[in-house]
Amino acid sequence: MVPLYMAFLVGGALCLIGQLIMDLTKPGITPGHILIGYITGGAILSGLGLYQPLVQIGGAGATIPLSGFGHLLTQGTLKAVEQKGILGVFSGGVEAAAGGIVAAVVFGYVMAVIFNPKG
Amino acid sequence: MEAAKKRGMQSVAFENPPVLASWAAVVGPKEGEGPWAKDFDWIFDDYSIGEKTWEKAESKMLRETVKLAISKGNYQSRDIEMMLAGDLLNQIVATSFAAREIGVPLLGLYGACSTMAESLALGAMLVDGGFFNRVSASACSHHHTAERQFRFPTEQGIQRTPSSQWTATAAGAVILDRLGSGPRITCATLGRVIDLGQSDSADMGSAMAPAAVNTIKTHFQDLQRPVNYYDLIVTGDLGKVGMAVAQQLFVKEGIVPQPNYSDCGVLLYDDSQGVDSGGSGCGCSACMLCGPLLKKMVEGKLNRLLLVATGALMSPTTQHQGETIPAIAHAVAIENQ
Repeated sequence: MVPLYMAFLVGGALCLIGQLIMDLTKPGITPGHILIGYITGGAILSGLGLYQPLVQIGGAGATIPLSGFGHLLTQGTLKAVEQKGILGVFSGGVEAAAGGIVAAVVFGYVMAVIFNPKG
Repeated sequence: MEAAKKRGMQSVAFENPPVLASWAAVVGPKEGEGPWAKDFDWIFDDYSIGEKTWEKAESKMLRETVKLAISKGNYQSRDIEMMLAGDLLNQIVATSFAAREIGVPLLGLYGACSTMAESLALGAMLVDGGFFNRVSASACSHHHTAERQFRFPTEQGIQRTPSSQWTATAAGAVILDRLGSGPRITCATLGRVIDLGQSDSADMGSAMAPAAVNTIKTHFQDLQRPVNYYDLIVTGDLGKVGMAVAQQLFVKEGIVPQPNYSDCGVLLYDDSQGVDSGGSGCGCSACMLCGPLLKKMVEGKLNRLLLVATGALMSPTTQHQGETIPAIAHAVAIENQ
Protein backbone atom coordinates (compact mmCIF):
# COMPACT_ATOMS: atom_id res chain seq x y z
CA MET A 1 0.00 0.00 0.00
CA VAL A 2 2.82 2.42 0.74
CA PRO A 3 3.91 2.85 -2.92
CA LEU A 4 0.30 3.69 -3.74
CA TYR A 5 0.22 6.48 -1.16
CA MET A 6 3.55 7.80 -2.34
CA ALA A 7 2.42 7.80 -5.99
CA PHE A 8 -0.69 9.70 -4.95
CA LEU A 9 1.29 12.22 -2.91
CA VAL A 10 4.02 12.85 -5.50
CA GLY A 11 1.63 12.98 -8.47
CA GLY A 12 -0.80 15.12 -6.51
CA ALA A 13 1.96 17.50 -5.44
CA LEU A 14 3.11 17.97 -9.05
CA CYS A 15 -0.45 18.75 -10.14
CA LEU A 16 -0.97 21.07 -7.16
CA ILE A 17 2.09 23.09 -8.17
CA GLY A 18 0.77 23.39 -11.74
CA GLN A 19 -2.67 24.44 -10.51
CA LEU A 20 -1.20 27.05 -8.17
CA ILE A 21 0.99 28.48 -10.94
CA MET A 22 -2.10 28.91 -13.15
CA ASP A 23 -4.32 30.32 -10.39
CA LEU A 24 -1.76 32.76 -9.00
CA THR A 25 -0.64 34.13 -12.37
CA LYS A 26 -4.06 34.34 -14.06
CA PRO A 27 -4.42 35.10 -16.95
CA GLY A 28 -0.73 35.15 -17.92
CA ILE A 29 0.06 31.45 -17.57
CA THR A 30 -2.33 29.09 -19.31
CA PRO A 31 -2.66 25.28 -19.48
CA GLY A 32 -0.53 25.47 -22.65
CA HIS A 33 2.32 27.07 -20.75
CA ILE A 34 2.04 24.43 -18.02
CA LEU A 35 2.15 21.65 -20.61
CA ILE A 36 5.34 22.88 -22.24
CA GLY A 37 6.86 24.06 -18.96
CA TYR A 38 6.36 20.71 -17.22
CA ILE A 39 7.82 18.68 -20.07
CA THR A 40 10.80 21.00 -20.36
CA GLY A 41 11.22 21.18 -16.59
CA GLY A 42 11.05 17.40 -16.27
CA ALA A 43 13.64 17.00 -19.03
CA ILE A 44 16.05 19.47 -17.42
CA LEU A 45 15.66 18.02 -13.91
CA SER A 46 16.18 14.56 -15.36
CA GLY A 47 19.39 15.68 -17.09
CA LEU A 48 20.66 17.08 -13.80
CA GLY A 49 19.89 13.75 -12.16
CA LEU A 50 17.21 15.25 -9.93
CA TYR A 51 14.13 13.54 -11.36
CA GLN A 52 15.16 9.88 -10.96
CA PRO A 53 15.07 10.12 -7.13
CA LEU A 54 11.49 11.42 -7.42
CA VAL A 55 10.59 8.42 -9.60
CA GLN A 56 12.08 6.11 -6.96
CA ILE A 57 9.93 7.69 -4.28
CA GLY A 58 6.71 8.24 -6.23
CA GLY A 59 6.78 5.66 -9.04
CA ALA A 60 3.84 6.25 -11.37
CA GLY A 61 3.11 9.46 -9.46
CA ALA A 62 6.28 10.90 -11.01
CA THR A 63 6.30 9.16 -14.39
CA ILE A 64 2.67 9.73 -15.46
CA PRO A 65 2.52 13.56 -15.11
CA LEU A 66 3.89 15.66 -17.98
CA SER A 67 7.22 16.10 -16.23
CA GLY A 68 7.61 12.30 -16.43
CA PHE A 69 7.42 12.57 -20.22
CA GLY A 70 10.29 15.08 -20.16
CA HIS A 71 12.23 12.67 -17.93
CA LEU A 72 11.62 9.85 -20.40
CA LEU A 73 12.85 12.00 -23.32
CA THR A 74 16.08 12.91 -21.52
CA GLN A 75 16.83 9.40 -20.31
CA GLY A 76 16.17 7.99 -23.79
CA THR A 77 18.45 10.57 -25.33
CA LEU A 78 21.29 9.93 -22.85
CA LYS A 79 21.09 6.19 -23.43
CA ALA A 80 21.05 6.55 -27.23
CA VAL A 81 24.05 8.90 -27.14
CA GLU A 82 25.95 6.24 -25.17
CA GLN A 83 25.13 3.62 -27.80
CA LYS A 84 25.13 5.56 -31.09
CA GLY A 85 27.09 8.67 -30.38
CA ILE A 86 25.88 12.17 -31.20
CA LEU A 87 23.10 10.98 -33.57
CA GLY A 88 21.36 9.62 -30.50
CA VAL A 89 20.47 13.21 -29.57
CA PHE A 90 17.95 13.20 -32.38
CA SER A 91 16.58 9.68 -32.19
CA GLY A 92 16.84 8.62 -28.55
CA GLY A 93 14.10 10.73 -27.00
CA VAL A 94 11.36 9.75 -29.38
CA GLU A 95 12.45 6.09 -29.39
CA ALA A 96 12.09 5.95 -25.63
CA ALA A 97 8.72 7.71 -25.77
CA ALA A 98 7.45 5.69 -28.77
CA GLY A 99 5.09 3.58 -26.67
CA GLY A 100 3.35 6.63 -25.24
CA ILE A 101 3.20 8.47 -28.54
CA VAL A 102 1.80 5.52 -30.48
CA ALA A 103 -0.72 4.83 -27.72
CA ALA A 104 -1.91 8.45 -27.96
CA VAL A 105 -2.29 8.19 -31.74
CA VAL A 106 -4.04 4.79 -31.64
CA PHE A 107 -6.46 5.67 -28.85
CA GLY A 108 -7.10 9.09 -30.38
CA TYR A 109 -7.92 7.44 -33.69
CA VAL A 110 -10.20 4.87 -32.09
CA MET A 111 -12.07 7.54 -30.15
CA ALA A 112 -12.47 9.65 -33.29
CA VAL A 113 -13.96 6.67 -35.12
CA ILE A 114 -16.34 5.69 -32.31
CA PHE A 115 -17.54 9.14 -31.25
CA ASN A 116 -18.69 12.18 -33.14
CA PRO A 117 -17.29 15.27 -31.44
CA LYS A 118 -19.14 18.52 -32.06
CA GLY A 119 -17.26 20.98 -29.87
CA MET B 1 -26.03 72.67 -37.53
CA GLU B 2 -26.89 69.94 -35.07
CA ALA B 3 -28.79 67.02 -36.56
CA ALA B 4 -32.48 67.29 -35.69
CA LYS B 5 -32.76 64.06 -33.74
CA LYS B 6 -29.34 63.97 -32.16
CA ARG B 7 -29.05 64.74 -28.47
CA GLY B 8 -25.80 65.61 -26.77
CA MET B 9 -22.69 63.70 -27.76
CA GLN B 10 -23.81 60.14 -28.45
CA SER B 11 -27.58 59.96 -28.22
CA VAL B 12 -30.60 60.14 -30.46
CA ALA B 13 -34.22 60.82 -29.58
CA PHE B 14 -36.99 59.57 -31.84
CA GLU B 15 -39.64 61.94 -33.13
CA ASN B 16 -42.15 59.18 -33.74
CA PRO B 17 -40.92 56.48 -31.39
CA PRO B 18 -41.11 53.09 -33.12
CA VAL B 19 -43.41 50.53 -31.51
CA LEU B 20 -42.24 47.14 -30.31
CA ALA B 21 -45.17 45.46 -32.03
CA SER B 22 -44.29 41.85 -31.27
CA TRP B 23 -41.42 39.84 -29.95
CA ALA B 24 -40.27 36.30 -29.23
CA ALA B 25 -37.71 34.66 -26.98
CA VAL B 26 -36.43 31.13 -27.49
CA VAL B 27 -33.97 29.44 -25.13
CA GLY B 28 -32.03 26.23 -24.59
CA PRO B 29 -32.43 23.64 -21.83
CA LYS B 30 -30.32 25.32 -19.15
CA GLU B 31 -32.06 28.67 -19.55
CA GLY B 32 -35.36 26.80 -19.43
CA GLU B 33 -34.43 25.46 -16.00
CA GLY B 34 -33.79 28.97 -14.71
CA PRO B 35 -36.17 31.33 -12.95
CA TRP B 36 -37.91 32.68 -16.08
CA ALA B 37 -39.03 29.47 -17.81
CA LYS B 38 -42.68 30.52 -18.03
CA ASP B 39 -41.78 33.82 -19.73
CA PHE B 40 -40.05 32.31 -22.77
CA ASP B 41 -41.98 31.36 -25.88
CA TRP B 42 -40.13 28.16 -26.56
CA ILE B 43 -37.63 26.08 -24.61
CA PHE B 44 -35.55 23.55 -26.55
CA ASP B 45 -34.84 20.43 -24.55
CA ASP B 46 -31.52 19.68 -26.21
CA TYR B 47 -28.67 21.77 -27.50
CA SER B 48 -28.68 20.35 -31.01
CA ILE B 49 -32.34 21.24 -31.72
CA GLY B 50 -32.53 18.27 -34.07
CA GLU B 51 -29.57 19.45 -36.16
CA LYS B 52 -26.25 17.78 -36.91
CA THR B 53 -23.99 20.58 -35.69
CA TRP B 54 -24.28 23.23 -33.03
CA GLU B 55 -23.79 25.94 -35.64
CA LYS B 56 -26.84 24.67 -37.51
CA ALA B 57 -28.71 24.57 -34.22
CA GLU B 58 -27.85 28.18 -33.45
CA SER B 59 -28.90 29.32 -36.89
CA LYS B 60 -32.16 27.40 -36.62
CA MET B 61 -32.84 28.95 -33.23
CA LEU B 62 -32.47 32.49 -34.62
CA ARG B 63 -34.54 31.66 -37.67
CA GLU B 64 -37.37 30.21 -35.61
CA THR B 65 -37.29 33.11 -33.16
CA VAL B 66 -37.62 35.71 -35.92
CA LYS B 67 -40.39 33.68 -37.56
CA LEU B 68 -42.16 33.37 -34.24
CA ALA B 69 -41.98 37.13 -33.64
CA ILE B 70 -43.37 37.69 -37.13
CA SER B 71 -46.29 35.31 -36.59
CA LYS B 72 -47.02 36.51 -33.04
CA GLY B 73 -47.59 39.98 -34.49
CA ASN B 74 -49.89 38.54 -37.19
CA TYR B 75 -47.41 39.56 -39.86
CA GLN B 76 -46.18 37.66 -42.89
CA SER B 77 -42.47 37.42 -43.72
CA ARG B 78 -42.98 39.78 -46.65
CA ASP B 79 -44.30 42.49 -44.27
CA ILE B 80 -40.83 42.75 -42.75
CA GLU B 81 -38.71 45.05 -44.85
CA MET B 82 -35.37 44.62 -43.15
CA MET B 83 -33.82 42.13 -40.77
CA LEU B 84 -31.13 43.39 -38.40
CA ALA B 85 -29.39 40.61 -36.56
CA GLY B 86 -26.10 39.34 -35.24
CA ASP B 87 -24.42 36.53 -33.35
CA LEU B 88 -21.00 35.60 -31.98
CA LEU B 89 -19.63 33.28 -34.65
CA ASN B 90 -16.94 34.05 -37.21
CA GLN B 91 -18.48 35.92 -40.14
CA ILE B 92 -21.78 35.95 -38.15
CA VAL B 93 -22.81 32.78 -39.95
CA ALA B 94 -25.71 31.91 -37.64
CA THR B 95 -27.34 35.14 -38.78
CA SER B 96 -26.54 34.85 -42.48
CA PHE B 97 -27.68 31.24 -42.64
CA ALA B 98 -30.91 32.08 -40.82
CA ALA B 99 -31.57 35.00 -43.18
CA ARG B 100 -30.99 32.73 -46.15
CA GLU B 101 -34.25 31.01 -45.35
CA ILE B 102 -36.29 33.93 -44.05
CA GLY B 103 -35.82 35.76 -47.35
CA VAL B 104 -35.86 39.30 -45.97
CA PRO B 105 -33.13 41.87 -46.73
CA LEU B 106 -30.42 41.57 -44.10
CA LEU B 107 -28.13 43.95 -42.30
CA GLY B 108 -25.78 41.67 -40.35
CA LEU B 109 -24.34 43.19 -37.20
CA TYR B 110 -21.44 42.38 -34.96
CA GLY B 111 -21.43 44.05 -31.58
CA ALA B 112 -20.51 40.92 -29.60
CA CYS B 113 -23.01 40.66 -26.75
CA SER B 114 -24.24 44.23 -27.30
CA THR B 115 -25.94 43.17 -30.54
CA MET B 116 -29.52 43.23 -29.26
CA ALA B 117 -29.31 46.90 -28.25
CA GLU B 118 -27.37 47.73 -31.43
CA SER B 119 -30.01 46.14 -33.65
CA LEU B 120 -32.85 47.83 -31.74
CA ALA B 121 -31.19 51.25 -31.92
CA LEU B 122 -30.42 50.93 -35.63
CA GLY B 123 -33.85 49.48 -36.37
CA ALA B 124 -35.54 52.36 -34.56
CA MET B 125 -33.44 54.85 -36.55
CA LEU B 126 -34.40 53.19 -39.84
CA VAL B 127 -38.09 53.28 -38.92
CA ASP B 128 -38.18 56.78 -37.42
CA GLY B 129 -35.98 57.98 -40.27
CA GLY B 130 -38.75 57.03 -42.66
CA PHE B 131 -36.78 54.43 -44.59
CA PHE B 132 -38.87 51.44 -43.57
CA ASN B 133 -42.17 50.84 -41.83
CA ARG B 134 -41.34 47.51 -40.26
CA VAL B 135 -38.04 45.90 -39.38
CA SER B 136 -36.96 43.03 -37.17
CA ALA B 137 -34.15 43.37 -34.63
CA SER B 138 -32.69 40.21 -33.21
CA ALA B 139 -29.64 38.46 -31.75
CA CYS B 140 -28.69 34.95 -30.72
CA SER B 141 -25.95 32.91 -29.08
CA HIS B 142 -25.35 29.22 -28.43
CA HIS B 143 -23.31 27.96 -25.51
CA HIS B 144 -21.37 25.30 -27.37
CA THR B 145 -20.59 27.30 -30.52
CA ALA B 146 -19.35 30.20 -28.40
CA GLU B 147 -17.16 27.92 -26.28
CA ARG B 148 -15.45 26.65 -29.41
CA GLN B 149 -15.25 30.12 -30.93
CA PHE B 150 -13.76 31.90 -27.94
CA ARG B 151 -12.48 29.35 -25.44
CA PHE B 152 -11.89 25.62 -25.70
CA PRO B 153 -13.72 22.67 -27.22
CA THR B 154 -16.30 21.65 -24.63
CA GLU B 155 -15.14 18.00 -24.78
CA GLN B 156 -11.78 19.09 -23.42
CA GLY B 157 -13.42 19.83 -20.08
CA ILE B 158 -11.29 22.87 -19.23
CA GLN B 159 -11.81 24.22 -15.71
CA ARG B 160 -13.99 27.29 -15.34
CA THR B 161 -12.91 30.14 -13.08
CA PRO B 162 -15.32 31.80 -10.62
CA SER B 163 -15.30 34.97 -12.74
CA SER B 164 -16.13 33.17 -15.98
CA GLN B 165 -19.61 33.43 -17.46
CA TRP B 166 -21.91 30.95 -19.14
CA THR B 167 -22.80 31.84 -22.72
CA ALA B 168 -26.56 31.58 -22.98
CA THR B 169 -28.20 29.37 -25.57
CA ALA B 170 -30.90 31.83 -26.46
CA ALA B 171 -32.32 34.13 -29.09
CA GLY B 172 -34.60 37.13 -29.02
CA ALA B 173 -36.34 38.98 -31.83
CA VAL B 174 -38.44 42.14 -31.90
CA ILE B 175 -40.57 43.51 -34.72
CA LEU B 176 -40.40 47.31 -34.78
CA ASP B 177 -43.36 48.99 -36.44
CA ARG B 178 -43.89 52.64 -37.29
CA LEU B 179 -47.50 52.37 -36.16
CA GLY B 180 -49.41 50.27 -33.68
CA SER B 181 -49.62 49.90 -29.96
CA GLY B 182 -47.13 48.67 -27.42
CA PRO B 183 -43.98 49.85 -25.71
CA ARG B 184 -41.91 52.25 -27.77
CA ILE B 185 -38.25 52.97 -28.25
CA THR B 186 -37.98 56.62 -27.33
CA CYS B 187 -34.25 57.23 -27.45
CA ALA B 188 -30.90 55.49 -27.62
CA THR B 189 -27.30 56.15 -26.67
CA LEU B 190 -24.59 54.58 -28.78
CA GLY B 191 -21.48 53.65 -26.88
CA ARG B 192 -17.83 54.39 -27.42
CA VAL B 193 -15.27 51.60 -27.27
CA ILE B 194 -13.74 51.64 -23.80
CA ASP B 195 -10.67 49.62 -22.83
CA LEU B 196 -9.18 50.00 -19.39
CA GLY B 197 -6.54 47.34 -19.98
CA GLN B 198 -8.26 44.18 -18.77
CA SER B 199 -7.01 41.18 -20.72
CA ASP B 200 -8.53 38.17 -18.90
CA SER B 201 -11.10 36.63 -21.22
CA ALA B 202 -12.38 34.57 -18.29
CA ASP B 203 -13.48 37.82 -16.63
CA MET B 204 -15.28 39.78 -19.32
CA GLY B 205 -17.72 41.34 -16.85
CA SER B 206 -14.97 43.52 -15.37
CA ALA B 207 -13.78 44.45 -18.86
CA MET B 208 -17.26 45.55 -19.94
CA ALA B 209 -18.43 47.31 -16.77
CA PRO B 210 -16.58 50.60 -17.53
CA ALA B 211 -18.19 50.73 -20.99
CA ALA B 212 -21.64 50.16 -19.48
CA VAL B 213 -21.22 52.88 -16.88
CA ASN B 214 -19.79 55.28 -19.45
CA THR B 215 -22.79 54.78 -21.74
CA ILE B 216 -25.28 55.12 -18.86
CA LYS B 217 -23.62 58.32 -17.67
CA THR B 218 -23.55 59.75 -21.21
CA HIS B 219 -27.22 58.78 -21.63
CA PHE B 220 -28.28 60.82 -18.60
CA GLN B 221 -26.14 63.78 -19.65
CA ASP B 222 -27.20 63.77 -23.31
CA LEU B 223 -30.91 63.45 -22.62
CA GLN B 224 -30.90 65.45 -19.41
CA ARG B 225 -32.83 62.83 -17.58
CA PRO B 226 -32.58 62.32 -13.80
CA VAL B 227 -30.87 59.17 -12.54
CA ASN B 228 -34.18 57.89 -11.13
CA TYR B 229 -36.05 58.35 -14.44
CA TYR B 230 -36.12 54.64 -15.24
CA ASP B 231 -37.96 51.92 -13.35
CA LEU B 232 -35.10 49.63 -14.26
CA ILE B 233 -31.71 49.98 -15.89
CA VAL B 234 -30.51 46.57 -16.97
CA THR B 235 -27.06 45.84 -18.38
CA GLY B 236 -26.56 43.00 -20.81
CA ASP B 237 -24.17 40.46 -19.38
CA LEU B 238 -21.79 41.83 -16.78
CA GLY B 239 -22.47 38.94 -14.41
CA LYS B 240 -22.01 39.17 -10.66
CA VAL B 241 -18.37 40.20 -10.93
CA GLY B 242 -18.98 42.89 -13.55
CA MET B 243 -22.12 44.15 -11.83
CA ALA B 244 -20.18 44.71 -8.60
CA VAL B 245 -17.56 46.64 -10.60
CA ALA B 246 -20.32 48.70 -12.27
CA GLN B 247 -21.86 49.58 -8.92
CA GLN B 248 -18.52 50.86 -7.67
CA LEU B 249 -18.08 52.86 -10.87
CA PHE B 250 -21.52 54.49 -10.47
CA VAL B 251 -20.30 55.98 -7.20
CA LYS B 252 -16.93 56.94 -8.65
CA GLU B 253 -18.57 58.64 -11.65
CA GLY B 254 -20.94 60.55 -9.39
CA ILE B 255 -24.08 58.68 -10.50
CA VAL B 256 -25.62 58.88 -7.04
CA PRO B 257 -28.14 57.89 -5.86
CA GLN B 258 -27.52 54.70 -7.78
CA PRO B 259 -30.11 53.92 -10.41
CA ASN B 260 -32.52 51.02 -10.01
CA TYR B 261 -30.09 48.66 -11.60
CA SER B 262 -29.69 44.99 -12.47
CA ASP B 263 -27.98 42.79 -15.04
CA CYS B 264 -29.41 40.19 -17.45
CA GLY B 265 -26.42 37.90 -16.84
CA VAL B 266 -27.19 37.85 -13.12
CA LEU B 267 -30.94 37.45 -13.63
CA LEU B 268 -31.00 34.73 -16.28
CA TYR B 269 -29.88 31.79 -14.11
CA ASP B 270 -30.31 30.55 -10.56
CA ASP B 271 -27.23 30.39 -8.37
CA SER B 272 -27.63 26.62 -8.20
CA GLN B 273 -27.08 26.22 -11.96
CA GLY B 274 -23.28 26.37 -11.80
CA VAL B 275 -22.83 29.36 -14.08
CA ASP B 276 -20.23 31.04 -11.84
CA SER B 277 -20.42 34.79 -12.45
CA GLY B 278 -23.60 34.57 -14.55
CA GLY B 279 -24.87 34.45 -18.12
CA SER B 280 -23.40 36.09 -21.20
CA GLY B 281 -23.72 36.09 -24.97
CA CYS B 282 -25.91 38.01 -27.39
CA GLY B 283 -28.82 35.79 -26.45
CA CYS B 284 -28.57 36.68 -22.76
CA SER B 285 -29.90 40.24 -23.03
CA ALA B 286 -31.99 39.32 -26.10
CA CYS B 287 -34.00 36.61 -24.35
CA MET B 288 -34.29 38.54 -21.07
CA LEU B 289 -35.70 41.53 -22.98
CA CYS B 290 -38.01 39.54 -25.23
CA GLY B 291 -39.06 37.24 -22.39
CA PRO B 292 -39.55 38.54 -18.85
CA LEU B 293 -38.73 42.25 -19.26
CA LEU B 294 -41.15 43.10 -22.08
CA LYS B 295 -43.77 40.94 -20.36
CA LYS B 296 -43.42 43.10 -17.27
CA MET B 297 -43.78 46.20 -19.44
CA VAL B 298 -46.99 44.89 -20.97
CA GLU B 299 -48.30 44.08 -17.50
CA GLY B 300 -47.42 47.62 -16.41
CA LYS B 301 -44.97 46.43 -13.74
CA LEU B 302 -42.25 48.30 -15.60
CA ASN B 303 -42.96 51.45 -17.58
CA ARG B 304 -39.53 52.86 -18.29
CA LEU B 305 -36.74 50.45 -19.10
CA LEU B 306 -33.19 51.21 -20.18
CA LEU B 307 -31.52 48.21 -21.80
CA VAL B 308 -27.74 48.62 -21.85
CA ALA B 309 -26.38 45.61 -23.75
CA THR B 310 -22.65 45.18 -23.30
CA GLY B 311 -20.12 43.61 -25.65
CA ALA B 312 -16.50 42.47 -25.34
CA LEU B 313 -14.97 43.11 -28.74
CA MET B 314 -11.95 40.82 -28.69
CA SER B 315 -11.24 37.88 -30.97
CA PRO B 316 -9.41 34.64 -30.13
CA THR B 317 -6.47 35.87 -32.22
CA THR B 318 -6.12 39.15 -30.33
CA GLN B 319 -6.37 37.22 -27.07
CA HIS B 320 -3.52 34.94 -28.12
CA GLN B 321 -1.51 38.01 -29.04
CA GLY B 322 -1.92 39.33 -25.53
CA GLU B 323 -4.17 42.28 -26.42
CA THR B 324 -6.51 43.80 -23.87
CA ILE B 325 -10.31 43.59 -24.25
CA PRO B 326 -12.06 46.58 -25.86
CA ALA B 327 -15.67 46.83 -24.66
CA ILE B 328 -18.79 48.60 -25.84
CA ALA B 329 -22.27 49.26 -24.51
CA HIS B 330 -25.34 50.60 -26.28
CA ALA B 331 -28.38 51.85 -24.41
CA VAL B 332 -31.95 51.72 -25.68
CA ALA B 333 -34.81 53.34 -23.77
CA ILE B 334 -38.11 51.45 -23.97
CA GLU B 335 -41.14 53.20 -22.52
CA ASN B 336 -44.86 52.71 -22.17
CA GLN B 337 -46.60 55.84 -23.34
